Amino acid sequence: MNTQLIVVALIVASALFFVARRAWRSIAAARKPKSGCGSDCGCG
Amino acid sequence: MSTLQSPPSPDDSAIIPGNANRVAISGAGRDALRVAIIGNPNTGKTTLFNALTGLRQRVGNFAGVTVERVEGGFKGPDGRRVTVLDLPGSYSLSAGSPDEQVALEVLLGRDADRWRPDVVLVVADASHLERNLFLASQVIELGVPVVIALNQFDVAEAEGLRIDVPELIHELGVPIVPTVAKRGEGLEPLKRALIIAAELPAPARQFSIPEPAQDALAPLEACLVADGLSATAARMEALRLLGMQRVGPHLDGVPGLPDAIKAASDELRSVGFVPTRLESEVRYAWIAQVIERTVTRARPAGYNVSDRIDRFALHRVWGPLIFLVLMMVVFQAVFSWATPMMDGIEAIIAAAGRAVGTALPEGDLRSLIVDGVFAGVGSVLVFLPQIAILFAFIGLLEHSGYMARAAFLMDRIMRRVGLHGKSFIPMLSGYACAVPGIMATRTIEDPKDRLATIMVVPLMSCSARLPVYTLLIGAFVPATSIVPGLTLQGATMLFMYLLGTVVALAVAAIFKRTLLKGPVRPMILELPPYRFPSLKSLGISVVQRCQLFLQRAGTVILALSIVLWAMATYPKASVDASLPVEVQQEQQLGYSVLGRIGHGIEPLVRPLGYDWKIGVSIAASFAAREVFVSTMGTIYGVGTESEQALTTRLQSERNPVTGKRVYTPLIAVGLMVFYVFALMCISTIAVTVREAGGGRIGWQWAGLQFAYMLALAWGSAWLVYAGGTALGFGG
Repeated sequence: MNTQLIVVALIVASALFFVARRAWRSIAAARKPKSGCGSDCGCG
Repeated sequence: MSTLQSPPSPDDSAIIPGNANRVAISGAGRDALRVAIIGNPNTGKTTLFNALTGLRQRVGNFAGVTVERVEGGFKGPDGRRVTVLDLPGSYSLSAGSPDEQVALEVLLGRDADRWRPDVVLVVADASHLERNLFLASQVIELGVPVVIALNQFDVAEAEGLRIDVPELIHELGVPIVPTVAKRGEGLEPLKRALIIAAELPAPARQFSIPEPAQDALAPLEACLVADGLSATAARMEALRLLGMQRVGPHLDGVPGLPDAIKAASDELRSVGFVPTRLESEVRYAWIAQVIERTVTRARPAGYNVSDRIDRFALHRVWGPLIFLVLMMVVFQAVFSWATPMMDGIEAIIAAAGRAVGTALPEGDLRSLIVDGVFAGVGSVLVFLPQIAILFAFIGLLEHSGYMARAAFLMDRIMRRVGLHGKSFIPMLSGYACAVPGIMATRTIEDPKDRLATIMVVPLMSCSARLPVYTLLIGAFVPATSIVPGLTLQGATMLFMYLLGTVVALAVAAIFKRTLLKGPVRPMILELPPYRFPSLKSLGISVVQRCQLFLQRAGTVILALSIVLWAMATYPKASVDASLPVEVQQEQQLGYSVLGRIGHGIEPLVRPLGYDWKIGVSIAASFAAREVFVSTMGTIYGVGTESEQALTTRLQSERNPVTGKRVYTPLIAVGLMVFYVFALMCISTIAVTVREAGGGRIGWQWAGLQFAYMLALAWGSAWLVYAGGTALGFGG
C-alpha cells in the first residue's frame, strides 16, 4: 500500500467517523426535552 | 423631576427607592450574581441582553423571537461576575404557552435545570408602560429583588410621553433605570442598579385587594406556602391561578391545590367577584392610578408614520400585493445581484483547485482533493452570495417590523385552514431553517395548533434548498424577462417558495380537520412600530448566517463529500484504457459502491425520470440537502471547474444507452418540486421528536412527518414528470 493510499484511508475514516458522530448527536438531542438546537442544524 | 429629555441619570439616587440610597456597591470577589431578564415580547429584551453581555443573540422587530433561555454574562461594577439569563417574552406570568411556562418556572426557582435568579430585570417598553406594568407587578410579588429597565425611552420621548421616574420608583418600590438598549444608553446605571438591588429587601405587592376577596384567597395562599412558596409569591400565585384554565406543571403535585382553587373561586363568587377576572381588574385598576400619577402626554396621541404606512401595508387588496411584490424583489435579487460575486468565488476555487492539482502527484490523494473536496465543497460554496442576499432581505423585513404585518396579512388565511395566526411566525422562521421554526412554535398555547404547525414547518423552503434550486434553475430555466425587473428564473424561485407555503397550509388544514381537530382561536398580534433597521445589527445577522453556511460547508458537507468520493472511487474497476475517458469514468462509477447503491435504488426513482446518479444524490442529501449539489459535483468529477462547469455538464449529459438528454427542464422542475416537499434533514427530525413530546409519541409524529413529506415529494415529482411528458414537455 503506497503512502497516498494510507493518507486517503485515514482522511476517509476520519470523515466517516465525523459524519457518524454528527448523526448520532442529532438523534441523541431528541432525547433532551429542554435543550436547544445543535451547532450543526444551520439555524443560528 | 426626571423627564424623558434627561439622559439616563448616572446618579444612583435617581434609580433606586429612597429608603435604599445608603446601600454601597461593594462585594468584589463575592459569588457571581445571577440575573434573569423578562419582559413583554418586542420590548428589546434581547437587544439589552446583547448590549450587557456582548453576545449576538438573534433579535427582531416582532414578538416571539426568543423562545429559549439563553445565558451570558458581564463583569459588574463591583468586580464580580454577573450571569444573565434571557427568558422568552411574556405578557404575563399566566403561563399559557410553553415558552411562558419556562419563564415562570425559572423565576419561581422550580426549574431543576436552571438556577434561581438573585435579581430579576424586567424590561418594560417605556412607550407602552401601562401594558408592561402588568407583568412587572406580577414579578414584583415573586419575592425576588427586581430592577425595571424602561427601555425604548427615546421612542416614548418621540411620542411626547413624559415619565416621572422618581415617582414611578416610589410607586413600584423597585429600582428603575431608563435605557435605550440599541444605542447602549443607560447600561452603566443599570449594571449598578442590579448590584444594588441584590442587597435590597425583596419587594412586595404595592396595592391591596378588597378584604372579602383577600379572605377568600387566604386558604389557597396557605396551601401554596405549605408547598414551599414564599408568602409573597403565594399571594401572587393565588391570584394568578384563579384566572388559569389549568395549573402549570410547576405546581403539579401540590396537595389539595385543585380543591383549594375551587373553594376560593366559590367563595369569591359568593361575595360578588368574578374569580377569572379578579387579577386583571385589581392589577389594571392599580396600574391606571400609577400611570395617572407618573406619565403625562405632551401632545395627544395621533396618527403616526407607522399608521400611515399600515393604511397600505395592511390594506385588503394593497397589502397582499405589496407582500407579493416584496417577495418578487427578494428572489429576483437573489439571482441578479449574486452573479458577479458567484463568478468571483468560482474563479478563486478554480484557481485553488488547479494549484493543488498541479502541486500533488497523480494518484488517489490528488483525486480526493480535486474531485472530492474541491468539486464537492466548491460546488456548494459558490452559493454564499445568494445566502447573504436572501438573509439581508429577510433581516431587513424582520428589523423594520414588516414581518409582523406579514403575519397579520396571513392571519385570515391561517384561520381558514384552522391554524392559529401565531403559527405564521414559526412558518416564516422556517424559510431560514426548520429547526428554529419548530422551536418557535413554543409561543402557541394550544397543543393541537402547535403540533399542526410543527408538522408543516419543514415544508417552508429553508436556506439549504437554495443551492439545489439555484443550480437547477441556473442550468435549465432561461433568464427571459417576464415583466420589467423580473425574469423567469426569479419567478421560478418565487414559485418554489410559494408552492411550499401553499401546500403547508393545505396539509395543516388536513391535520386540523382529522388528527388534530380543535377550535380555531383568534390571534391578538402586537404590531410594532416601523423602525429604520440598524445597519450594524443587520450586518451582524447576515455575517452570522454566512458563517453558519461556511461552517456547514467546512464540516458536514466536507466530510460527506470525502465519504461520497470514496464511495464513488472504490472498489477500482479494471477498465480498458483504450476507451474514451468518459466511458472509463462511467464504467468506474458503475462499479463503485456508490454506483452499486445507485443502481439498486434506480427502480424507485426511474418513474420520476431520474437516472441512478440523481437517485444516489438524493439519497446522499438525506444527511443535508446541499449535499445533492456536492454529490453531483463529485459524481461528475468536474474538479476545479466548479459550479459553472457542473451546470454545463448537467445540460449536456446524455444517457449512454438511449442517447437522450438525462436532464431536461421537466426533470429539473420535478427535482425542485421533490426538494420542496421532501424532509431531508436529520436535525429537523430530531427537533420534531423533542418538540412533539419526546419519547415514543415524539418519534411517531416525526415518523408521520417524514413519511407524508416523502410521499408528497415522490407523488408530486411523478405528477410533474408524467403529466409534463403526456403534455409533450418531456424533450
